[in-house]
Amino acid sequence: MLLEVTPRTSQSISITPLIDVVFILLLFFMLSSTFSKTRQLELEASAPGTQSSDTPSHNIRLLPDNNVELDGTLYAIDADTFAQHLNTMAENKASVTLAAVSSVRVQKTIRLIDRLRSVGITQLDLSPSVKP
Amino acid sequence: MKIVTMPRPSQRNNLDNSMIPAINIVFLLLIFFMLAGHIEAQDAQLQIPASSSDAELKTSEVEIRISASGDYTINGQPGHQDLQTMMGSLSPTPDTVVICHIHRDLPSSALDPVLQAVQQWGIKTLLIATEQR
Repeated sequence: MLLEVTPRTSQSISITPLIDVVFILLLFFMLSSTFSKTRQLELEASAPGTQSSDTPSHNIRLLPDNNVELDGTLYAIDADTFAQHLNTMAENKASVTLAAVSSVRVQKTIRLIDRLRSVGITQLDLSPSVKP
Repeated sequence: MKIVTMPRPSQRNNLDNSMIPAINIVFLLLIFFMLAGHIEAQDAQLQIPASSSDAELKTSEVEIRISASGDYTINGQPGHQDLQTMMGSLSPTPDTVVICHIHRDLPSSALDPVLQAVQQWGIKTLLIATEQR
């Protein structure tokens, strides 16, 4: 018997299904991946009365409607006078006890903490919220 | 005379060849998104506040998550009791690092149980998870 062995033609992989899969992968990664990384903000929550007495200490109360109360005096949060006070406090290395009124949103409290840090106030204490 | 039009064998190859630059770009984009981005569970109930802090998030022994409804979980366990009692069962030491993921639109009073628990157990480090602006 004569067997005719035909040489197998090498089948090239068709590129279209490959692109389909790659496109699906691309869409998946484009839609599901996030670029913002989770960061941390360190808070000191020491018990009251543990601060050293040789540095001046101030109380800031964060009120609703973008107002703050610094040692009993009311300021608008973006007022220049308040910013000046913060700068002076940072220069004096003052310690700050911050308390927010209970209705103020967490984001606003974090924003103020952020601002105090950026001014240079490092001794920052967050107290539980206070009633308005 | 009968003319039979045969598909030119080179036509398919031409098509493939012209698509190669496009595929190159798609592959590059794919690799970019795979390497630069990271996949994270998006939870509409827990959107953490924004801050300009650029410190990378540490790992911690105690992870508290407070969602928009005010419900909280400690290390994945839903809190049925009050937070102080639940933290007590983890027997924290002053060196325990506590990290709190809190929804940004909650009132500040939602953070009170965490602050009180941290004070009660004398914990030194409380971290608030934020996302960079």
